[in-house]
Amino acid sequence: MRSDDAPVRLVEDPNASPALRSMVSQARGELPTSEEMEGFSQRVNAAIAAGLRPSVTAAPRARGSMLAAPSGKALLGTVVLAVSAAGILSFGFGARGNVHQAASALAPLTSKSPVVASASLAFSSASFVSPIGTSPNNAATAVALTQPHAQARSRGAAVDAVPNKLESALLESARAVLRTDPKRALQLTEEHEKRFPNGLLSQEREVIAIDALNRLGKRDAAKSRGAAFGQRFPDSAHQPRLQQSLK
Amino acid sequence: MTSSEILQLNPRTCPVPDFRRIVDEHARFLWRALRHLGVRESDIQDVCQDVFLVAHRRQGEFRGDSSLRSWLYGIAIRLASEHRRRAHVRREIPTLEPALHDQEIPCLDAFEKSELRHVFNVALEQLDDDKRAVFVLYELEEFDMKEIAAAVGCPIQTAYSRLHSARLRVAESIRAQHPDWSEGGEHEK
Repeated sequence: MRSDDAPVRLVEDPNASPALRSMVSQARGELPTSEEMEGFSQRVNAAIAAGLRPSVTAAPRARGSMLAAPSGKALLGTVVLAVSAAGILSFGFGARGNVHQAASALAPLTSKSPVVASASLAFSSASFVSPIGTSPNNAATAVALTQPHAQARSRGAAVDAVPNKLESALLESARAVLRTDPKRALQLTEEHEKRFPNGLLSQEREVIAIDALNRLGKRDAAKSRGAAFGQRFPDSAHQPRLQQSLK
Repeated sequence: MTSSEILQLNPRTCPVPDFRRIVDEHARFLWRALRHLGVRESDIQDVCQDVFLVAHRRQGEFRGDSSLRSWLYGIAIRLASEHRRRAHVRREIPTLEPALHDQEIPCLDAFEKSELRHVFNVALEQLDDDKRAVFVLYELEEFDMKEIAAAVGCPIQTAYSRLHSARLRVAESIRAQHPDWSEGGEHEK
C-alpha cells in the first residue's frame, strides 16, 4: 500500500528508535477481540435494522435534541430503557416505533439530566446487557449499570477478585518514582485507581498518592485524602505514619 | 461482490444483510483507528457504531471516487474529532485504558507494554487533529498517501507535510518523556 516515493513507515525505519518502532507495532496490534467484534457487529446491524440514528454527528446539533450525546449513560432510567430496548430488539428488528415509544415512556426517569434519553443512547447501553435471556448474569449486569462507569467497575471488580501482578507492578513503579517524579507517581496511582478501584492494594495506593501530593506541595489535597483514608481504613497500619506526615 | 460495489449498486436502500458485510470487513480496523484518534476506550463502541450509522444514512453520497475504506475512515476521523472537542474528553489522556489481556501475557511484559502505550498515547495527544489523523492512517492503518488525502480531504502534498510534522512531534514527545527511549536508531550510531 506504499508508493515508491512515500516515506518508510516507522515500524520498518531503521532510523527510528526501537522504542518508537515497538510503540507503533504494538498499537497496530491493538485490535478488538473476536468476541468484542461479534457483539459489536450484532449491535450495529440491529441498530441499523431498527433505524436508529447516530448519537453523534459531525454536523452542529441543537441542544437537548433527541440525538444528544450519551452523557447520561449511567442513569437508572437509561438502564431500564436499555433493558427495554434490548428486549424489544431481541424479538425482532422491525421495532423502531417501539423503541421510540419506550424512550418516550421512560424519559421522565432521566429528568435529573439535562439530556433527554434517546433511542440511540438506549441502544448503546443495551449492548451491555444484550442478548437478553442468554446470560445468567443479566440481572447482576443490569444492577451494575445503575452505577456511574458501571461497565468499567464491573470489569475492575472481576479483576480484583484475584491477586493481580499488574496491580503490584503499577504501584511498585509509582513507589520507585515517588521521590524523583511525584507527579508521575500520582498519575500511576490514578491509573491504579481506575483499573483496580477495589484492588487488594488500595491502601498502599492511597499512601503513595498522599505522599506524592505532599511532595508536590498540595497540602490541602493531601490532608483531604488522608482524612478520607482514615475513614475508610481506620485500623490501617499506615495511619501513624500518615498522620505524622500530614501534620 | 466487494463491499464498495454493494454501496454503488444500491446506494439508497442497501439492505441490512449486505451492509453487515461492510461492518464485518471494516469494524475491527475502524475500532483500532478510533482508539488512536483519541476516542476514550469506554466510548469507542458508541463512536464506532455511529460511524456505521452515519455511513448507512449517507451511503447515497458514496460515489466510488475514493475507496470505501477511505470514505469510512473520513467519517471516523470527523466523529473522533467531534468526540475530542467535548471538554470533558479533551482533558483526558488515554493511558492504560485499552484492555490488557493479562492472563495471556506475562505480567511484567504487560506492564512494559502499558508504559509504551502510555508514552505513545501522550505523544499522540500532543498532535493536532489533522496531523494525528494522517499519522494514525499512515503508520498504524497502513494507508497510502492517496487514500489518506481522500479520507481527510486534503491535497496529497499537505498529507505528506502533516505526516512529517507529526513524526517530529511524536519523536520530540517521546524524547521528553523518556530520553533513553529515543536512542538506538541507526541515526544515533
